[in-house]
Amino acid sequence: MRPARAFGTESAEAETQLLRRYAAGDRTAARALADRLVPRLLQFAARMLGDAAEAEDVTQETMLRLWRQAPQWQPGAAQVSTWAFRVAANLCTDRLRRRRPLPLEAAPDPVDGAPGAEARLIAADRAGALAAALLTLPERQRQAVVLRHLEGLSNPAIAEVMGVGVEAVESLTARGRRALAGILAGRREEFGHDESQ
Amino acid sequence: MTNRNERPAGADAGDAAAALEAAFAALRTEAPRPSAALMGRVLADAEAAARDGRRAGLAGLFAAVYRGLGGAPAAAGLAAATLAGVWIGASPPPVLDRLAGAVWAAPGEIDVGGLFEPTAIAGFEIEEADG
Repeated sequence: MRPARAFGTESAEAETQLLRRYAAGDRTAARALADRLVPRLLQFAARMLGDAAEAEDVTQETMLRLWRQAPQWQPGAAQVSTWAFRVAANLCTDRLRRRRPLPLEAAPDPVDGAPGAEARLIAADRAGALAAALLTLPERQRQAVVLRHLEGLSNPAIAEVMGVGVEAVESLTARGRRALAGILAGRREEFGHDESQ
Repeated sequence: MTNRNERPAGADAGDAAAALEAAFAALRTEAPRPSAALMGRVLADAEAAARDGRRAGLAGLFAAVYRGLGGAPAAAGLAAATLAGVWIGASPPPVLDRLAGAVWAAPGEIDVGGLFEPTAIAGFEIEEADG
């Protein structure tokens, strides 16, 4: 597993400095901050929503809110990355709720939770299979798993993003991993071979 | 590659964990990359937000000064005083010339005679009743 890259003190301070410089009128700081955050927000939103266009919208909206927040940014109040992921997570939640009247947690069968998910699992490669499987997880599990295993955030950082305790994060990621492992195992059964080799 | 039917059941959990880790690694390498268009929109937003912020900051400064002066009554008084100043500057009453002459005159030559006659103030004429 990769280290929690965004929440090291050095990285967090660098992002805060960039935001301050942007607020002071430094255009290069905006570019540098966007280079750091946009790819990560885009990946997070893409894995949460499974839709590239919507993921771009969420990323742009999150960054816009960050730009607007910059002049009032309180040092020490929150880390820039944490704040941005929290905003992005909320925007994704809004879109998912608009998309489905029932919450994902109510989905009875994770494999069949998204239209065409099974077909995608069969047809896609290993990464594609996991991406599709992620979309079948309940939303909170998906958030925790993506932030932990794709973005490399620490459990305390994820807890801050999601507004829950660290134990809840551990539980969500464990359940999510179990569900994903089950889905991928089912796929291996379909192909009749072991992909872990 | 191994046929699943020939593997012991105890290997399943390990296989599943290994497969999941491999899939996470594969997915991380296939992270979507931001398009140039997206980065352009994000940076354009940054420009616009900074512009709006500067405008708001200037408006906030004026608002702070306005509040510091004492609000509407003080601002009205200040405006009236400013207008009076402009009026006096554009059309100075003769009394000011005489007063200035008195101030700048040599010591001992000050003549204040008629300085305070009511009709001496041009632009502030006071009508006198004709007998």
